[in-house]
Amino acid sequence: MNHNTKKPDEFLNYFYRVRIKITNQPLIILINIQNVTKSFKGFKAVDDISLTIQPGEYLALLGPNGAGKTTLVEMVEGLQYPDQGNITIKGMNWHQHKAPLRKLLGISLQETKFVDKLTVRETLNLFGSFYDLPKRRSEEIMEAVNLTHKQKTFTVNLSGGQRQKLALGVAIMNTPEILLLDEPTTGLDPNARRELWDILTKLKAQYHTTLILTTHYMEEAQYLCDRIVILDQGKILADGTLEELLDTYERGEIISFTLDKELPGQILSQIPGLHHFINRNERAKGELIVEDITRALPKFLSLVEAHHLEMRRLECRKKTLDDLFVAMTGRRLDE
Amino acid sequence: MNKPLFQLVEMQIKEFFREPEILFWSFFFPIAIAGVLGVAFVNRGESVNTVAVIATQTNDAPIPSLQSVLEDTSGLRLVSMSLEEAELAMKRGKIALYVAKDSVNKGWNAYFDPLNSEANLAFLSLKNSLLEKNQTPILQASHITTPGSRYIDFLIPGLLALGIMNSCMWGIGWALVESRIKKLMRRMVATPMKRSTYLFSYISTRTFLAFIEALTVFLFAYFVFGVSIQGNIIAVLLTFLSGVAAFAGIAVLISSRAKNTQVGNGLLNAVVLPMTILSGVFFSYQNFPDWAVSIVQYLPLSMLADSMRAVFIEAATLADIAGKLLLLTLVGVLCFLAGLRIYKWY
Repeated sequence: MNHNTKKPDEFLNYFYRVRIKITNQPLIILINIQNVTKSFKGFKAVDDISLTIQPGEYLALLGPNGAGKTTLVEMVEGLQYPDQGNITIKGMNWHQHKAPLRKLLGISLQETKFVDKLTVRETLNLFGSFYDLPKRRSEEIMEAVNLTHKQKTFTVNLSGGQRQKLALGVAIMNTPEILLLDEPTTGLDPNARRELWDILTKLKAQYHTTLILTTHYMEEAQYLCDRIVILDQGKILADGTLEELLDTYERGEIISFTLDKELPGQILSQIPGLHHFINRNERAKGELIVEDITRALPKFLSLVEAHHLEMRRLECRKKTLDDLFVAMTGRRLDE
Repeated sequence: MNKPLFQLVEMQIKEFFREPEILFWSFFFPIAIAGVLGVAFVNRGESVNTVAVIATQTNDAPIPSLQSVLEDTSGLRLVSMSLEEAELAMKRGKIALYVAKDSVNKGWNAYFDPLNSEANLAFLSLKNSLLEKNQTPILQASHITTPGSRYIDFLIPGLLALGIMNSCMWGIGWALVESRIKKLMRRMVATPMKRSTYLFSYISTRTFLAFIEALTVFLFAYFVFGVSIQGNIIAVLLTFLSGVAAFAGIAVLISSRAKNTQVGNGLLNAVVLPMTILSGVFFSYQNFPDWAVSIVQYLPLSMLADSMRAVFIEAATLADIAGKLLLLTLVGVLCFLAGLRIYKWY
């Protein structure tokens, strides 16, 4: 039925995507969130947020627990309504266009318990029927989310990771234009998380889905998403690519060290590209924020040696979103 | 004092009192039930059993003679009826026993089902009163065992009605509340699936399962007790469907907002429990005070049980029970629509 209308749409999206790449000027807005506010019993979960999302973007809503990520995503999903502000998706809104919007979205909620005594395959068949899909689609989905070997297992007997893969499978059944995943890997062990990331990466290569993902794992946002929006206390703190975000606050890389004795002050002035020095303990311990580790580190080490100091601990790393978050809020993401 | 036992007990008591809804359902609701039932049915003094006395064609006026003997016998009320009236009243559970003059030895015969404890009680108290007055010849017991007039004939249609209510209330009402608690409902209605389809699926499933349940009970009663349907099978089926419609609608209304186990459970019990007790499934509500009867007879379960019984043992036609069936369906439809208006999907 939708065949005729979908074709030109897909073409347009493709056209626009190409245009975006060439001109870097966004021409189409897929999701438009305008001045949205939502309160629960006087507590502002989402506080006047505006955000536009373009087709094909992989966007992470990153923030600590209680930042308003779930509320924001559920308003996009039509499961909650904003107190103030508007949300439009492809020009449609949840008041007037419920049916077409539901067909457009694929969602995975923060916690979904499926029917306990239904197998993986039966669960997929059930949800497939809601989208008018043939049962053969269930096979494809099980393959896509690596659950074929669990097809006859009751959902109640699945592990946390398998359950999340099933939830993801259900979310992508209808090949959604927009995929919304609410904390898809929270509480999973690193292997299960990595597996889910791989599946999502594959999806990205295969379809031109737009993804909105909420997470409080910095690595997840960095690994999966081109664009990261940092939320805290219902407001957007920062929005951009990883590079842009790290650049907005303060560039730099970190050399963290512990020495046996105090670091003589004159050493600092000789380190190339030093932004500043964070003194932790009488200068025997601290962090050097430098422009470029590869230039600063050899000089630092040779100075340490020249002053007959002994290195007890040395750690070098690039700045992360966590550092950015700490700098902006004084708290860590996983707090 | 910081012993684990005390801490654990304290934890559970706090947990209990910090959930106002649980408080309501565990304290207020039982008190309310006790109050309502107590005021309605305890304060009326002793229970009164109605006993029918069959008027005979001869002019020997049975009522005055028996009445004069029994006038100070509390707990019995004598009513004059024809034999046909008495038999019908017994099928409907309005009376448990009737007395007729024995033409052979000029005494009285009491007709009742020996398996009905209420009837046994009435018989004993009647016999006792007559003995006290040295009235001879005394009362003879005549046991009724013809199918259609026994207690089991009264009981089975009522049990079928009760089964329909429980099946719908728990099978639809509770299932929907549980699906909301598990957030499965939320996930499902976020797809293009129609919400009406979702609710209708529960109602269809329940119609099918309740039918199987009812059929099982009936077949058991048929083969073991010889309970049969005197009326039209179509009338039975329509009664069944009206019952499902009524309780499915009520179940949807009851489940429309509850978002935790205690509230869901409490609401369901608030509907199911009073009707199970009052609606004349196990014993007739006709012995309640008149004002209570006038209310109780319009409870959905009463209407369903009465209609079912009428078709089963009185061979009532569809026309006889059409009013009640329409009323049941109307209750269902109105509750369903009301529930739908306030339904909490997420």
